[in-house]
Amino acid sequence: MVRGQEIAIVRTRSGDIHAVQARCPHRGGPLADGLVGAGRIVCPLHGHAFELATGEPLMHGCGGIRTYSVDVSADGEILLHLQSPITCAG
Amino acid sequence: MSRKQRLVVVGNGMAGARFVADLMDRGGADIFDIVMFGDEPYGNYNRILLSNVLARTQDPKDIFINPLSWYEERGVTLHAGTRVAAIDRRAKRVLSERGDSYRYDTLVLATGSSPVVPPFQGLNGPDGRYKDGLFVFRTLDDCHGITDYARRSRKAAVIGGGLLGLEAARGLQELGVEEVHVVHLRSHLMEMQLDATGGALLQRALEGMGFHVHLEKSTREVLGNGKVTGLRFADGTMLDCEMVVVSAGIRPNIDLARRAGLATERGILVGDDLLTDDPCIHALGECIEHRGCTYGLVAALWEQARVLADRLSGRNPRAVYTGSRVATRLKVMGVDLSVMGEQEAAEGDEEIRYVEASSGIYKKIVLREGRVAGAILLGDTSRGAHLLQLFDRGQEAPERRSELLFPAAEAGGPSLETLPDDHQICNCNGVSKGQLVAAVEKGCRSLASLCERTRAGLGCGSCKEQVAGILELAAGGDTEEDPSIHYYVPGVPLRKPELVKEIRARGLKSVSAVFAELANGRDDPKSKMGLASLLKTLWGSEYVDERDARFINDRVHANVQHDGSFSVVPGISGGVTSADQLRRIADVADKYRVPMVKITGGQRIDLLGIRKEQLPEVWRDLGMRSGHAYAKSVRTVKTCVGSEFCRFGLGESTTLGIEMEERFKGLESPAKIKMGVAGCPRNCSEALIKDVGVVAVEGGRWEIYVGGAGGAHVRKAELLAVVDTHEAVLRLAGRFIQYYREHANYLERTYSFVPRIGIEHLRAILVEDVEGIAAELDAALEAAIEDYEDPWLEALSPAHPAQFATTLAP
Repeated sequence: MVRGQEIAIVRTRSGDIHAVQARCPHRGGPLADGLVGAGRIVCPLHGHAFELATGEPLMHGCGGIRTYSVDVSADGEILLHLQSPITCAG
Repeated sequence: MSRKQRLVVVGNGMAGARFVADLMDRGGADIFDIVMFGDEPYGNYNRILLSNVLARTQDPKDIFINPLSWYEERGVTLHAGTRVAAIDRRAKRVLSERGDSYRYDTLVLATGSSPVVPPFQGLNGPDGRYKDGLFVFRTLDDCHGITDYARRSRKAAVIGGGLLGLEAARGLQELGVEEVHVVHLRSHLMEMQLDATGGALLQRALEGMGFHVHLEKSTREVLGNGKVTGLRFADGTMLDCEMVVVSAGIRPNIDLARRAGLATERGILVGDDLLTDDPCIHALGECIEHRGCTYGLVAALWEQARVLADRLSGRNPRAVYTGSRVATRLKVMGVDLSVMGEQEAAEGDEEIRYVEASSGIYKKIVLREGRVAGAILLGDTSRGAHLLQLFDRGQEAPERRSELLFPAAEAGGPSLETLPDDHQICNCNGVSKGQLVAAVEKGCRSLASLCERTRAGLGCGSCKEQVAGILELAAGGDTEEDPSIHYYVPGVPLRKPELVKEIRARGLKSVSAVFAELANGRDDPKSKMGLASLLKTLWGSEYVDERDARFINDRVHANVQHDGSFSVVPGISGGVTSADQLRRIADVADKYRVPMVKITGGQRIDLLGIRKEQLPEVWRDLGMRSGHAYAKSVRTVKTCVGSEFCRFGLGESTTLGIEMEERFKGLESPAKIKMGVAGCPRNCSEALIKDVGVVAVEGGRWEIYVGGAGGAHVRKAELLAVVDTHEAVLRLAGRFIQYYREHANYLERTYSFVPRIGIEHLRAILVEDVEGIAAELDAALEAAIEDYEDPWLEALSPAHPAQFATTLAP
């Protein structure tokens, strides 16, 4: 929870870092408990998949997810830009 | 300056255009600048529907798959109505008949085929062209010509009684020709698809519609001076007619390839990679010859197009075409016909035939080693979808052979064809038959795409067979087999036996290693669970457990609920508990204010609504092992009381059930395994609808059943063996479980696995040990059992610090 918004931070095996909304738009599932790979994240409840970079939904029956700009600083801190999340229409 | 590669496609027919469309779908536009040449001055149309155009049931403009605008919109340069005259392979250029030349990096030949016109006498008029009234039936222009002339003709003959000839005959009748004659060289019609009996029935149907059929007639001469007046045959007889349509077969167009020096026989020779003997030139469609076969059926063309598009787009550079299993479903003259595999039984084959001559119904099935090797269904194809599945999957035919001809009485309910559109097929996601049919009509041609589009079959998966059946029905013969349905996991293009071989050969012990070496590094998240399960099964304690490859349930050893909370089911072997255990469970329920305490179908107790961060403490306070209620593994052994107390008990079912659960608990498997033990044939523990069921019978013996199911799918288990001791039950059940672990597809429950392998075959391998692997299976199982560790011990030493951190506030 950051400033009242629920965010899920994802680090892929190849070291990329992403930040997306924490609840799946389908039925509110916990995306941070999902499976990640090939640039995608899969919600554990019903298997809805989303592109991490754009938030685009990959299956029918569900909208997209908000993505946030995020970096890692030299000291290893995670810097999250909350102001302008990108919402994917899906 | 474009850095894209130059792709030139010679041929804008169904194969060439479909290939380009598939390539576009795979991002081909980013890789290639595409130039196409087409003989006909049109976009790509569906040649199969020409018969409908002739019969006036369809308008010419409705049969276009890719009208001219399609090419423009995608930036494909189409030279319609322009032939390619030559290929200069050294300079890598093609030369059009207009004298223009075009460079290529990659060349694809899809030159199709031409109608065969046998060298009859009298084909040509004085001007050297065909006599007036003589036609072939291949193109849209042919259609226009035939239509015009037929309007002024009373009597016409079609030479060739194959599928196309019969369709041409139907067209002529629709156009008002009074007498339509079909002249055929062979002794029965449609000999490519039908045997003699089927051909005779078809002929009866045709004659009933007013057609005249002449068999074993070899045409020698077309009579008439500049204009057709009749035909003369080899036996000396003659037929008066004003119009002749020749439909005597097709021949691949290989001239261009041959003159360029490419290897040809009947067709342009290609390998499984669809390459000719020039590394820059591919070929597909009716013009090719592959493994000795040429193809004229559209399903084969679609498959070739897909493979070539996969290769050239880089989506799957190792895709191969291995030939097409021939299965078609068509309407010939309004009569339903479904044909697959071989039409004639060879020695040792079993043949099932059903003939209802008065209704024009003929069904023939050829069985080889108990599996469908071929079938003909004429007049009533309602069993076609079912037979096609058995044929495609190589599944064992049912013991009651009549089920191949007609749906079983107990199967209950109407067949797929007669189901109304609003009938719900997928209950998990609420998908009706009508929605599935609509998706197919919008273009879904494979099971995978249909499920993805509608979400049918993506829940519990038990409706997939029905979905496949509806796909078959709605798409006619034009379905695509998506090879990824055979892969163990979708992200790695290998079937299970090959995948296991590669994993062992290369020593791949982690999920990421498998992705790196076998999937070009692409770590498809939907493949992670299946791979993790397989690797654990193969490597045991040597498996390199990457926690990010685990599904949440396996990361925290509990079942995730709809609100992100979890359910905790401690192990209660055989459904037998104690006051002490109950007290501990009750205390935990109180201490953590557990929202719901529920008794499960597996005869144990479920604590629902527990938060993730509470899990380790809950496990510590329970002091019981994990019940594995969340994993793809052995779950429970359900028991009834047995001779320990029950007055009807013939065996100690409770004791045996506990022994089984203690032995097999938590073993990793491709799908969950539920077991049951009954103390007598009254079967109070429902053992016959379990993956492994054991029933006590007279004489102190035990019957072992496998392959049952009592969930979304219900199936009665089949008897594997009868044994004498608990020890024998444990050994044989264990052997079956190990064989299932090794050979089943991911998520394939035993209710599919057992009929797929066949109970007799299973008995032969596991009981009679015909393959000599019983000792290995037993040893492998023993090793897996030894490696077992209660995952709830992670309460004491978590796998990693944030394992149980909250991810979502409730």
